[in-house]
Amino acid sequence: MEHKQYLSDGIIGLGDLASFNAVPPTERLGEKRPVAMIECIQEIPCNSCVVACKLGAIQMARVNDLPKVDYNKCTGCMACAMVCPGLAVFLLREGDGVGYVTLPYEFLPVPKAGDQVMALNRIGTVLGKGKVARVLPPERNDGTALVTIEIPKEMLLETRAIKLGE
Amino acid sequence: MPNNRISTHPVLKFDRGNKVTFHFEGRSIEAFANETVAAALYANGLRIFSRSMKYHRPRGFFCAIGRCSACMMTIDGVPNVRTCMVNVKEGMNVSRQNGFPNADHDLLSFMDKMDFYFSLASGFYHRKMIHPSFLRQTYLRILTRFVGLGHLPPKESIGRAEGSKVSMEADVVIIGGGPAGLTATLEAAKRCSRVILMDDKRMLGGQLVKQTHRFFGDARHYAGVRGIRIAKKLTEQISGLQNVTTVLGCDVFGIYNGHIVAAAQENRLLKIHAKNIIIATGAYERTLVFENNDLPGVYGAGGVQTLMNTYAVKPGERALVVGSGNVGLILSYQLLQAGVNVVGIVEALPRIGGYLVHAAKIRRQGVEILTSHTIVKAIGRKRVQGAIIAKIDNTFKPIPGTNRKIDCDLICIAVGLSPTYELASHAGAQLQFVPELGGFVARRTKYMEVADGVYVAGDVSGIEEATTAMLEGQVVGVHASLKSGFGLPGDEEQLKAWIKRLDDERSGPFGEKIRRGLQSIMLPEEMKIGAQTVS
Repeated sequence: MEHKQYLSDGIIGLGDLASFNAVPPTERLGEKRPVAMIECIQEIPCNSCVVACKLGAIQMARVNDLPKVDYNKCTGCMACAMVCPGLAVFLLREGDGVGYVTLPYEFLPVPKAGDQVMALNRIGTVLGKGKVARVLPPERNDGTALVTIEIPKEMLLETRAIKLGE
Repeated sequence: MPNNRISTHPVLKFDRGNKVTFHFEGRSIEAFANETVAAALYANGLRIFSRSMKYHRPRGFFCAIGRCSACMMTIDGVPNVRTCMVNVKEGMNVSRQNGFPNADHDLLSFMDKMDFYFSLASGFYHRKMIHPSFLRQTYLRILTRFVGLGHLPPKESIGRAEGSKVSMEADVVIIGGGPAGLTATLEAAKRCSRVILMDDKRMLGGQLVKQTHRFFGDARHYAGVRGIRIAKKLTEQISGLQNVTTVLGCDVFGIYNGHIVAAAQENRLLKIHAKNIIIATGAYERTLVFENNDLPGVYGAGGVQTLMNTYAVKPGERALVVGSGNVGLILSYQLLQAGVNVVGIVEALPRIGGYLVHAAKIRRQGVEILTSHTIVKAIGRKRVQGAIIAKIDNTFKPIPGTNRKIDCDLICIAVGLSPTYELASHAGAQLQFVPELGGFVARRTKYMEVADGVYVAGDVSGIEEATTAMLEGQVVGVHASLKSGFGLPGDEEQLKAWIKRLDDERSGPFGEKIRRGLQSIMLPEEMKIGAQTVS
């Protein structure tokens, strides 16, 4: 198997994702409905997102294949993000100069809408501030909250975690 | 005394049960009815559980599932009780058994400095302290005291319990109530009239009961569902079945004549005549060789999971995880969820062993994964106070000058599992060492039969994921039923479909090793089911 840097450090970079065509096109990000970005670029036996998607927007021929999102079919309904065991699904949207990213969150305390949080990138470094726009509470999804935060547009493709506090 | 109990958890809700007080070496310990003695003591700050036999080195909690023997104590006069397997009871008397005057401050620990004398060769006791011969019995008595495996209660107090021998019969006996054992039981129960499920724990579910993460796999097989929920679902299904007898807290110690299962349950001896036997005993954790690897604070990953996810006890404050397979990665995430700071993960190989998505999940929380690194040493005298790690070259030797001190109080060993093959071997299976499958495994047919009427399923047949274990359980559950003379229409097609699903699961790059391993242990010919043959 060809050795990739992400296999050594566990960091899936934006470049890696782009090389797997896993980044939604910019035009789609600007649409009103959010779009799923699945950061799953290694062949593992899992198809939970495919089965969760009622719109048929995620394709996978065999259980070990990578998920392929049809960004036009995707409505950003979060069904895949709710079940993904790898917590690898993020929902993105941008408009009016701000970006919205919805990410899975399984820690305590759970933030509330309106809270200020720190936006972290893929290695846990603070990128800047974010404001919680919406929360799917953990009790409605067996412990996995889905937190939507509002961040500057430029941080949309880099923000992948949050830390509470300002 | 400190209280290390976890009060809130993002995923788990804990049912500790009623408050219970028991006695530990003269102190009163507050505990809860659903805790094991070991968990309750750990929650109350105890770290030294025993002393090693020869050098009297402190030993702590290691595996938490009754395998490592580091937690053996005397309970109500009975020596060598594995405290991780026994729940606390009101008024119970617990004491550590080796260490003079006690295990915390053991004067005999000077033995640790005597290795120049004792470590000349293993089995020193055959060569030393045997002359003059008339003193041998005296030496033996002294040595036995030094070893300190407790004292037997006086002969008069050991009675013979009523009904101490129980004989049972079953069509299928399943040994082990983990994912494979549970699905095997369900399939067997759909077909056979008498099914017995046995486990050495007090609850069913095996290692699923501490898997708080959502599972990967085929969505038809619980993908996206947390392990703990799967355990609950399967256990509930079984508890409603009239034809299944569940025997918990029993140790199966042998399989005789290929069809008699012998087990000990408290003071009862169980003898079960089984038409077919399914061994789903799972695996035990491996450890790693480094200086001070026996220090309290160096624990198996599974033991740490049991502490925090089953008993809601915080294992430490700052953890170093050794091994980046899925177990190490998942454990790191669970540690973070339990409020433990993870200071890093070291991995000897140049690449991460587990799934990349698991790795990415903890990287986002700022946890570093150091590949091509190893732990050189655990620091501390009576408990872990730090660790030395180093970079290693491609021959796995530490590179001089790369030593680094890590500040931690917990070292979690997640370097893999080995199948618990002993019962299969006792039942007459041929064993083979297959590194790809984790160690010794039984040679088997396509339908997991290892000897006439004896099956394996799950990790005992090769270390894999719970998803494949559940599928294997279904396969053997049906096949063993057919062999016992029970079946449902369409069983043959069903078996073929599951075998195909197993092949699909193993078809990716992560299944490559498993595929290679399985090839080398396949028995060529199919064993016969009653009169008919499934091929």
